[in-house]
Amino acid sequence: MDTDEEGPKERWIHEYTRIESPLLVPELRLHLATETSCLWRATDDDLRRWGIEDPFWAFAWPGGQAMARFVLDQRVWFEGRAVLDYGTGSGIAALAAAKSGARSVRALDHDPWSKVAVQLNARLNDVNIFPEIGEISYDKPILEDTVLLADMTYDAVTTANIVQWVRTLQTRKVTVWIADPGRGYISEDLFPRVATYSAPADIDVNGAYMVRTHIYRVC
Amino acid sequence: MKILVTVKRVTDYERKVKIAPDGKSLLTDGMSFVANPFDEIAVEEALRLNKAHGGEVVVVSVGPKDSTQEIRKALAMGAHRGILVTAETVDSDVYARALQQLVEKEQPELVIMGKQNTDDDANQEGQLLAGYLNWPQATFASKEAGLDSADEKAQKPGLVVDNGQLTVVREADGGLEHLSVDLPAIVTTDLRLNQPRFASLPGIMKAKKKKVEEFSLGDLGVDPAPKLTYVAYSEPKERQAGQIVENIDALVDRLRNEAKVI
Repeated sequence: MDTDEEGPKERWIHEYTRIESPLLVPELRLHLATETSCLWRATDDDLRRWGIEDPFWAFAWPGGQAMARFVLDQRVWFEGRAVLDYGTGSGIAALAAAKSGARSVRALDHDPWSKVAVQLNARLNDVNIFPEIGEISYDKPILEDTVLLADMTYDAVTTANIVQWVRTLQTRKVTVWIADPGRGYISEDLFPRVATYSAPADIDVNGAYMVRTHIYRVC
Repeated sequence: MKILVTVKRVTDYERKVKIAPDGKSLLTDGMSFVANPFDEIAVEEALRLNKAHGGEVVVVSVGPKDSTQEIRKALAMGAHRGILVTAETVDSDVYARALQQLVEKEQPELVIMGKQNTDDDANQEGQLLAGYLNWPQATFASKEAGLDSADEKAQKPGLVVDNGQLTVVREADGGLEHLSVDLPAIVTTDLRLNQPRFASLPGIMKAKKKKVEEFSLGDLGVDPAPKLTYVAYSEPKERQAGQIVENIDALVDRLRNEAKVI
């Protein structure tokens, strides 16, 4: 597959994923790898053949689900805001921000497949989002006043970089929201917790196992 | 039940290893690496026991930093979290002593590891570990029913845990032994214990966000100096090319007069 083109990727996502609503956010619909989708049974070799590397965008992670729930329930924090959702994946948290009346929503992810998935998911939920492919330059200012980080704190190195970035954003009066399903790299010692949800630990949508997922607020 | 299981990063057994010009080491450039196949059987067994008894499966690797790849593979199969002990050169003794420290730290009820690592085939790490911990050991764990059995298709564990006791079927020359050991214990796995599962995509993706802790040998207080020195490597003798004989008479003649075997 020509991995530079978005058209074939769109068709591929339609064919290989299913449209489902994540457990915590039944009002959103996403293209996901579910048990009945072809993507669910893919092996490493299949992914290589399709030119897909780590399809984080095809799963509704517990952090994403909790963040989206929080954003939908606490619209006062997001209404009229310019929101950056970093590591957006499926765009679940970005969609919630748009639904909650954000002035603008930028959905940033390094994976070109994520951009296509976010476009499809935005259309599916009838919201406007600006998906973008890329990484954050931690030392450069951003245009937004609100940042969402859903399930991004899952390894030591990334978390260290993110925490440093969050501290910089803090001095620039940017409000940062972090959702973390207890992956062990951030805690209440670091940032204040504002909400806790029970989110599906498994990345299927059924929620056979739930995990306590915390929302942290840095401002 | 908390189970500690090992995955060692070893050279791919399907590739031919190359000897370095000094004759004392193997070239790692261009080599590909895999999880020790006996360890994959250990991981599978740990996951089956976990399904039956609950608890946690902690996967441990001792070796180069890239061993996280093999840890992630075991996490993708379903293990819960990983620990990497980074080490430059790992002989059986360094390996067993690093594991000893982790066992004392983690306090598992059971350690399952491959009967040997296919890089050096030493087949002594489990035994050394049992010795250092003074724990009972059951080596070469196998399954009486075999790999074509209904039990295997139903992914039933071959190891039987009951009331603090572990029963293990062990492969011995010319038959099977049935052992019973008290927990905590060390088990090493043989080839016919189970058929390891393939990781599914959701498993692979979940594994990317699972926790992997990292220690150095120094962090664990293990002397990194290997006790074993490799003096020299030599290639197996090259096989000589065959010859085509014209007819049966010529063959018999050559066998009788040249090879002197008839």
